[in-house]
Amino acid sequence: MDTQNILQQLVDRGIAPGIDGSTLSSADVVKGHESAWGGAGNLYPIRPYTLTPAALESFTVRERIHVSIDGLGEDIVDLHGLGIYRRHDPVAADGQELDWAGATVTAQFLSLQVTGHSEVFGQVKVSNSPEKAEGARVKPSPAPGKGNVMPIKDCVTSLYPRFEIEDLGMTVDTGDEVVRLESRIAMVPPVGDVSRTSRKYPLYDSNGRQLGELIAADIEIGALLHHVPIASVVVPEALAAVVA
Amino acid sequence: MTALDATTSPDVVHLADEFRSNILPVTRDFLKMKISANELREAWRPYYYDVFHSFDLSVEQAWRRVSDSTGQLESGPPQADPAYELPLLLFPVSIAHNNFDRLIEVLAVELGDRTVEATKIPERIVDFAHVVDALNQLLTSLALRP
Repeated sequence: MDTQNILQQLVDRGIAPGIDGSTLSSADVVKGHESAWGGAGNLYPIRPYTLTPAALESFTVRERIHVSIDGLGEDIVDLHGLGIYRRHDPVAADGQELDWAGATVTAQFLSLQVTGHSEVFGQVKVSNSPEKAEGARVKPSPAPGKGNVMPIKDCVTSLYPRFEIEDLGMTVDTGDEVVRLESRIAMVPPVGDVSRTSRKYPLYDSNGRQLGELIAADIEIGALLHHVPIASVVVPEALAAVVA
Repeated sequence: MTALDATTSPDVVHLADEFRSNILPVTRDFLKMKISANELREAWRPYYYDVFHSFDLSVEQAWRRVSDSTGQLESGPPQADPAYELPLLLFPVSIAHNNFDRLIEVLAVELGDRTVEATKIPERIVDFAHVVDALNQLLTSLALRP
């Protein structure tokens, strides 16, 4: 398929407003970290379909957000940074032996910090809210109508993102509403994963006044930077309620 | 460690053929406004849950055979030994399909029975075009591997 030609057709039809010829390159596309696309000299680096014990892990993260802010406008912003999470011991399905197919894996986000620049908003920094219960849950994915479980798992990431907007002069967030990004993975840690939101979220200032909207967010998990085995860790109760 | 041979290796040639025959035309139709997002998802699902699922299972089995992995809790760091080359070469196909499935899902959630020009998230349409191209190239390159 001639991607460039089709993309130009999208622009010509006005379907991709703001995406002119200069941004038809792949630089702004969210399709997964390069390590997940294989090719010569690019063997996938993580053991697939494998359960490992609890660990602290840090990654490069790339996030693309589509945001509108009253008085400033709307923009799509590319952000880059780091994520750190504490992955818990995997848990077996009820009454079953612990194995990849039936296991549930959870993780608590300790830090997520990404930064980028927008012509509309100035510098944008997105961070998580570690004082709140944030994390990810990976659970079995049944194949529809077949009764068997696929090698892949459904992953839901739950975050309370905070958006520091330079030209707004303040930080906005989603209030008490958790933002959920979903994906399907067959590897833990999820290097190469792309998770995406499926709805909009209002954005509020510190007084609870709505100032804008998070229209869409897409997160790519990049390279694994550090892996530190830790003693057995179970899911904190508050986090378990959020990722259930 | 058990070596893989032609009779036990995942059939990426078949998967590539199915993708080109059944999915590429549908993705073109979606981008050209001939079908809705729901129609795209309905066309994708049989391929994903049948053809790709079988392939994914075979990649998992290939991994288990060469690495002596049982699927139970395993010690050691998460990094894979590059000596287990074949499943690690093929696993990006699984990642790409799973990421693509999620992209199709969110497009269907946003657009439903509408076609692509109704989107308010055009960057995901651009993603879609690039991912289809990249996945086709990945499958083709692996299918042509000696």
